[in-house]
Order: sequence, then structure tokens, then C-alpha cells
Amino acid sequence: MIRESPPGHLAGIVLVVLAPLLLSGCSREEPALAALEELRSVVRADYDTGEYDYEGIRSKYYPDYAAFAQRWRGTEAGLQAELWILQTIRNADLRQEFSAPEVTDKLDAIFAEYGHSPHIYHMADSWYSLPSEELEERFDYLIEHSPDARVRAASMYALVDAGSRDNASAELAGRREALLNDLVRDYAEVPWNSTTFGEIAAAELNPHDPADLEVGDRAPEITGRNIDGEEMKLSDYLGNVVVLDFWGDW
Amino acid sequence: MYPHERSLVDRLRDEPFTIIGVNSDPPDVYRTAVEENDISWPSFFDGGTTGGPIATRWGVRLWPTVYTFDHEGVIRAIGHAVDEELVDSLIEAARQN
Repeated sequence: MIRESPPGHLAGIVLVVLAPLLLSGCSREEPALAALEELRSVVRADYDTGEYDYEGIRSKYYPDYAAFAQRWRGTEAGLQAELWILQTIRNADLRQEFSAPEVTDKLDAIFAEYGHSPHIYHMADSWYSLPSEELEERFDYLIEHSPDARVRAASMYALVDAGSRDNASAELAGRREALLNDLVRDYAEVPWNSTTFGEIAAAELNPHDPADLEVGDRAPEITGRNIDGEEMKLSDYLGNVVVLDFWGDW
Repeated sequence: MYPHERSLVDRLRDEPFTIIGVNSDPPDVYRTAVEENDISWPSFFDGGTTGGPIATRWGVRLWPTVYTFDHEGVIRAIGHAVDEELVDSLIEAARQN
């Protein structure tokens, strides 16, 4: 086809010229993530010296993150740097050093650059450090428009979480159940951490009544799996005294 | 917490007693922790994060949270550490049944 039609031939040449550029576009992701890891370890090591407090270390490295976000614009690591910057502005805003419009401007800039990227998932994932009233309309936009199922599901779950906060509007709190039902119905198999949105949304919809988890109550059954995927049941251990330890290694 | 739990499991090896974890770590963190700390007791894998499905259903928001059940599965204590004296007395009661 290319051989027969001059415009096609031209397209072929254009493709040959563009190919290295397109490829380099794809391969920016890995070096960007490596560079971000490097920046983070420098910050961590500096913080560990104890010379700076939490805010001090953020002020010191703000220019580095800003340069990083610019240098790696469009990549997943670039977005993560932007979210670090957003959180820093937000923290400062809480101390009244920045005006709220700066937070809004930064949010707008991030959505303009990354709104159609699957990486915007990180935004939904770290919403809790962000002003929820600013995010509500943006998450609704993502739920409506994002082509990426994980972005839509994460946006819905972020709204569920935001709606569960004490300072949530009655309207947002009122959407909780419908959002969770949508997650169970339409996003059951979409990954969330090491499980799925279906699993976590079902748990949110059907928590145990705290009144049934008091001393003297019979422990409710737990059916689940160990890390190797083998089935486990709490009732398998009836007859034993059991210490049930909700734990993590931190 | 690990050394305490490990010595408890060792001491009560021949008794009707089990520690069961509900673990909130990502898989690689869990596997490393088990290996480095000689953790011999089983754990439910709770989605690789705090706020996983089991913790959510149980309303757990602080880690660690520790429930103690008697041999009939009745909740006898809720706290943030193992109450060894309580465990001993519950085992004594289980033996008499």
C-alpha cells in the first residue's frame, strides 16, 4: 500500500522519522521512575539526619521536585512529583502561607496535563492529602470521562472515602451507598492494592455491627485466604483459645 | 511484638492455643517479615493494605488490634497487645472442658 500511493509513502517516511521519538516517549517512564526513586532516597537520607523537620525538608526540596516535574512531564513519575508539590502547597495553605487559589491552580494544571492519562489513578489514590471539596467535581469528571476502568473505580472509591469523613457534605455522604453498589456491580474485578474494588466495596457495604463485636459476643466467621491463596476459616480453630492479631510490619 | 508472640507460641506449643494474623502488608513486605522474624503462625492476607476487606468489616482502624477468643469462639478481650495472663486462664478453662 505504501509503495503504491505517494501520500502513503510520505506517511511511511514520517513514521520512520517519528518512530525513535515515539519509542523514546514510551521509554521515558522507566528512567523517570528510577530518577524519582533517587530523588526520594536523597530526601530520605537528608531527613534522617534529623536536621530538618517535616515542613523544613519539604521547603528545601521544593525546587528539586518542581524541576523534576518539569523535566519528566507526562510520565507517571512526573505526576507523582506533581502530587508531592500539591501536597506541599496544600500543607502551606493550611498554615495560611499560600492562598487557596494556588491549590486550585495546581489542581487545574495537573488535570490539564494528566486528566486523560491512566497515571491520574495516583491522584485518586492520594486524595486524602488534598482538599476534598476541590476534588469532588474533578473525580466526577474522571468517573464520567476517563477511558481507564481503574481511574474510574479509584475516583469512585475516593468519593466514598471523602464522603465518610466527618466534614463531608450531606450530599456527598448520601452518594456513598450508590457509589459502592456501582463498584460491586461494574468494577468487581478491577485491582485495588492486592485485592479488587469488588472485595473492598462489598466489605464497606456490609460491615459487622460494632455491637456484635464486643466482649461476650461470639466472634463472627472470617473466610479468606493466606498469601499463597489457600483458603482459611476462623472457625477451623474452634476448640482453641485464639489470639486474632490485625498486624502489619512497620 | 514478634519476640513476645514467638515466645508465647513456643511456650504454648502443646496447648489448645493459636495465634491467627490478619496481615495488612503488601505481599513482598509480608514475606520478608515472616522470614526475618520466624513467624510460624498463619495469617489471613487482607488485600495488601491497611483498610483491607477484613479490617474494614471488623471496623479496625488502629494497628495492631488484638482480639482474644475463648475455645468456644467468644470474644474475651479487645486491645492492642496480647494479654498473656488472660490467655493462660482461658487455656486452663479450655482444658477443664
